[in-house]
Amino acid sequence: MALGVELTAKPLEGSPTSDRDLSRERAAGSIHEQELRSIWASVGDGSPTADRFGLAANASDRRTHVDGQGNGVPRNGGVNILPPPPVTPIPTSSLHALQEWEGYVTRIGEDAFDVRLLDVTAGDAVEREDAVIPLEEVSAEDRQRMEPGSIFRWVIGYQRSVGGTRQRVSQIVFLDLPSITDRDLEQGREWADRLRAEWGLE
Amino acid sequence: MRIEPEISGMQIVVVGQFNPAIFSPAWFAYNGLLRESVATNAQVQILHPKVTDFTADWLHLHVTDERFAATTQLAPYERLRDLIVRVFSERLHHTPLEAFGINRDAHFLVRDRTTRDKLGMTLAPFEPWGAWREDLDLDGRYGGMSAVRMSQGRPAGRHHGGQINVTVEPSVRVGAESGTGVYVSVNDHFVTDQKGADSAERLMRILKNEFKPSRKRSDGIIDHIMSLAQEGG
Repeated sequence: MALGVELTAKPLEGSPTSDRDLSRERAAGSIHEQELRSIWASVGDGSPTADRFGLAANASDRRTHVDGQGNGVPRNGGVNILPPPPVTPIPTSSLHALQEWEGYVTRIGEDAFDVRLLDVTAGDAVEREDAVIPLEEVSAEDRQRMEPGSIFRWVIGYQRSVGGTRQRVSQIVFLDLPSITDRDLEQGREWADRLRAEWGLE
Repeated sequence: MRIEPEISGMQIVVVGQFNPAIFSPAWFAYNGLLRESVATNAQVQILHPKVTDFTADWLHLHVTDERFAATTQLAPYERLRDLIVRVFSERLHHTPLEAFGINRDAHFLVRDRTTRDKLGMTLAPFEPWGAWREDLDLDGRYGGMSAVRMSQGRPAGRHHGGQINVTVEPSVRVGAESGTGVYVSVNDHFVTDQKGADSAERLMRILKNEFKPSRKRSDGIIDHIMSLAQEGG
């Protein structure tokens, strides 16, 4: 073979000198074929959508694992020609929500706007709370876009900078929701029909 | 969660056939998928026919020709779901897709190294390792659990190939020096039953419906691991 390396018993797990029995694991369905086809992307063990090397992943001690699993593995059963270099994600801050609401705008005033809130953290299914939020809590861009009915998420939590500084923050994010499709409308009608039938309103 | 994570995030990985070069911050802004200000300030690592990688405010995107991975560490995580659904149902709805995963990660600290060792021994007891266990060094500095992975194949209601994978490891991002960091990762994997022109539509419908329950389930699993760490302490 001129250009590539044939995959025989490439180490996949932990130490670069470890060696899992791939044929047995594949037969048992625990390794997806995709895992073997990837050149270098962050493919996790077992599932092609697992991530072992992303932003929040536990990856920094596994750089040799990336190499051991990726470089030299033939793509689509073929050969591996000059795989692109690995890209290390730029570290970003992290915001973990301690309290989270979903809400929608009911009225916009001069300095504040009225909202109806659903407590996501408490697991509520319906909106139970009303609130008045100062407009200054919202970014200028969102202020221009918001209108009665706009849906947002309100998160209170600790934001940690890349350097580890911890800061309590309150953040309101207006969601750019997917547009409603014909299928969504159809599902809505089916749901309404089901309720009508259950309640004997036919 | 009963222990506030030091680092946590969510990621959606879509497997299919992609053209990485189109996924520039400008493309997202042009199509109304990212705010103009967010796209303008994006830090692009690479934009190439084989791979795209950029960070834009709350979003980190990494695309190869077979894999589209969007990650955020900034709540609210719903904007990640909304972005992916919009990309593949409103703009690129003919993209051949095979699967997607909703991934949840958390790094958290436990009280001390002993507590973490007890967590490791709860998940992977030393007893079955025979005589070698005596050499594993119970203070956790030179031996012990390095990774445990538990998988559920084909969870109820999912097509063949669907799975939930949970990994627990010592964290290398937090508490690495003190031996007090724990990393838990949940991969919630969904596949489509039919490949074809409407595979994107099918998978995005599943993503829209399953994101919330998936997040709840994943947070529950992570919280349970945290509870073991607290009991261990």
